[in-house]
Amino acid sequence: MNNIALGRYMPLNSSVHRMDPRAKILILLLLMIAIFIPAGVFGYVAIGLFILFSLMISKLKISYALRAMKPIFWMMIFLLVVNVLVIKTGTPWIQWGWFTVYSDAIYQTLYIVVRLMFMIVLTTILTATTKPLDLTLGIEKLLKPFEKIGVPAHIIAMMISIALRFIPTLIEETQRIMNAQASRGVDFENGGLKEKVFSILSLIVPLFVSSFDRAEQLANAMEARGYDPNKKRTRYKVLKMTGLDIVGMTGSICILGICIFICITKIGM
Amino acid sequence: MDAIRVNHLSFSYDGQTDVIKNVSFSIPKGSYTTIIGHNGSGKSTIAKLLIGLMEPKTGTIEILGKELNEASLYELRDHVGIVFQNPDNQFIGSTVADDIAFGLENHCVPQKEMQTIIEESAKKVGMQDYLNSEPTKLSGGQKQRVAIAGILAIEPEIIIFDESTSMLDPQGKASINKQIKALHSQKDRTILSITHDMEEVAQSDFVIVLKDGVVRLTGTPMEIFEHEKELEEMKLDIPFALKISKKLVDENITDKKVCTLDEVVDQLWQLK
Amino acid sequence: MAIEINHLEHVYNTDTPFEHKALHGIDLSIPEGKVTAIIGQTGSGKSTLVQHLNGLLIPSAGSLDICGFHIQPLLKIKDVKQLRKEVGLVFQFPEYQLFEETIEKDIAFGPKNFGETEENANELVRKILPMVGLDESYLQRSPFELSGGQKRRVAIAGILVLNPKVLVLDEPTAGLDPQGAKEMMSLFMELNQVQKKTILLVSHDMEHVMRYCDHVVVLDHGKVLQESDVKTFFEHPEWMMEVGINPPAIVRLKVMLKEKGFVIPDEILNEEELIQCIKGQVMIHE
Repeated sequence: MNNIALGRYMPLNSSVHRMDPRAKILILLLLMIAIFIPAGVFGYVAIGLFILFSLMISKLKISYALRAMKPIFWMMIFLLVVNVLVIKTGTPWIQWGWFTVYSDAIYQTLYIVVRLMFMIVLTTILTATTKPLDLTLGIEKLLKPFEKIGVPAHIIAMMISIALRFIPTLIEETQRIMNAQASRGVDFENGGLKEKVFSILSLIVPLFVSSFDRAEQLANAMEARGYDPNKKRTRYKVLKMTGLDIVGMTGSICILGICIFICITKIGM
Repeated sequence: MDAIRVNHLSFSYDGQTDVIKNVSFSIPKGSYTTIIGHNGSGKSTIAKLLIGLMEPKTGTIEILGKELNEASLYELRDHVGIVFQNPDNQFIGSTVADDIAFGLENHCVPQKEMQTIIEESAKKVGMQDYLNSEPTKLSGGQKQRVAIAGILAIEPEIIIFDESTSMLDPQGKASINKQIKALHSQKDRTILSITHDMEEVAQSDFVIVLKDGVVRLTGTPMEIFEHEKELEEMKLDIPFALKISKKLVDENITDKKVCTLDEVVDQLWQLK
Repeated sequence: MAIEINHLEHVYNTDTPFEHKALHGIDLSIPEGKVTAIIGQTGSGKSTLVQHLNGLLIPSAGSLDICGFHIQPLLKIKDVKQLRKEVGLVFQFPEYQLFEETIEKDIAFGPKNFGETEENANELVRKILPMVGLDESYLQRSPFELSGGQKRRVAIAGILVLNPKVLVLDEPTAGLDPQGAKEMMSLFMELNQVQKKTILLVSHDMEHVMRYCDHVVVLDHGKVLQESDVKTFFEHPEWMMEVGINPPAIVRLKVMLKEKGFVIPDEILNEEELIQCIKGQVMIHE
């Protein structure tokens, strides 16, 4: 569980950590759009530089961001193989008997890989520099305008933050139940299909029972403390945009602008 | 005026068997009252009814002279706080400060005032150094202290403890019991504690004994402990201090029964 | 045969930033057929230690010998199932391990895992149920409709039905009312006295330890701080105070009286003797 890099908060003290979560979410969204606009090498260089710069000021190690890419490594290989076999346009680069590798196959793969890499690194920067609760708060504030058309922004945010709050508790509980059932002779690793089904049932059922228990108690505690999702509440945490937030957002708007410009005018493609 | 007054209260979970049967009692303002009874006697059900988490089948509840009903519910929650049994399942925020803030947010306290209130409440329970700690890093006793801080932030006149120490280790227990005593000595606060701990009962002003949803005994701890036979029938024990005190009286060493260790030691010291 | 633990160490999450050494070289000999209490604060390593006893954890260093099994680092236990049958481990709040539709099926789950036929397993369930104070009418009921105390009895029956030689109990009375706790402890004492089972009791409740245990082990920060017979242990309240354990009421009374200048010999641990001792030191009312 401990080596999942993607989505983990890294408690460092950097200017990116101190940025407003709303700004960070918006930047992520703007750049995501930019990534999907075909804007040739220039576009990618612009986005790449922005990402590299963010990574530097966030004090995250490059190796950390690369580690987040591990899960897609095999996907890249697979993609390359498929593309090489399927795409037969562009100039032939390597010829090997009846088999030819065309330039477009390589370019296509490269484009997809770069896009994926950008998206993963961006998301990693966001989640590594923003506490889950701040992220929720950011989402809530950004969804606020949509409340008028019936999006329950506050409730969504509360659900996410409670889920996040209980993940460690549930992991602990799972471990405890597994230990208890192992002591009753359950083997979670070996055994045939029937044993597997029973061993999973013996874990899932108690986990559900205790989760429902917890949910009920938590609901009581929240209600007793005066919580009503439909009532007006004040908020303890307030978000404030600062210079860097404005700079970051302006920067990403510029990049998006450049990409759109290149895409329409085809300059430099 | 009574802090809490319960009149002919009945309640049933399934609509058939009543778990609370025609219960009436009143709790004077500023008192420290304990409710005892075996598991399943209806103690926790009463706590939930008192803060309006469930509606009574028949009967009424008055909090500070006002009847508890749907209209008065949210207003009355400004005056009553409750600490539940399981420390994990009442920690709502992702840090100590967030959790204390939760109640303030619900009560629409202006954001500017929150930080001071949070710091002060955390200080009252000795958690001021943990404001940014996450719940997984805290012990059960610490989590319960945060729960108390969250309630103190609202400054309710009545605080209910629903077996709040039963899942804690001895240190956690001791720290919460100390906290309860300190809370009672301050202001005009009414404390209602549901407990199994007879030593705590011995220190309270007033005791209510429940059995199978019926109030069987009420009175001061000494008055309650006089009914030893009945207590035994209800599978309740008397505190060790009283057992010793009784023997001291039987042996003609002391002349008055007492029910806390401090009192026993005091009596003996006077005779030395 | 006794349980022998030699220089046992345990490290969690080795070679990660979360590395944590929970046990620092434990040496213990736990006598057979006795009731041994393991006490210590939360985080002292009690739970880690007991999870070694049935092979849920493997030591990082050192070794232990239990019921003919030799457990040491990096060595896969040959027949871990057999070990788990001989050493029954009851976790804290065991009611949370119930999952079957009926009580009969839930208790029979263990024996079936260990290879008993359905018939034999059900036969064993019928034998074990009265021991935990429930009659046959419960067999076909759902465990989820029971009260908290009854659920715990069913969960404990789920371990007892395996007929383990060693029974390890982690806070078996936590959250029960005093009467429920008393009944639970009497059950364990009967198992110890009648069936001669070795019992290890992890407990915070010093009244229970004083009344029911023969032998006491105090853990603190992953080390054995004290090990003695129960009487010697309670003659030294300072041992308990040192690790923040609340001594039994009688011991606390003794300490309080001593502070007021009463002379009370260490070996006095019952009410009668204490009263006789005080009697000689006060003026008597006429």
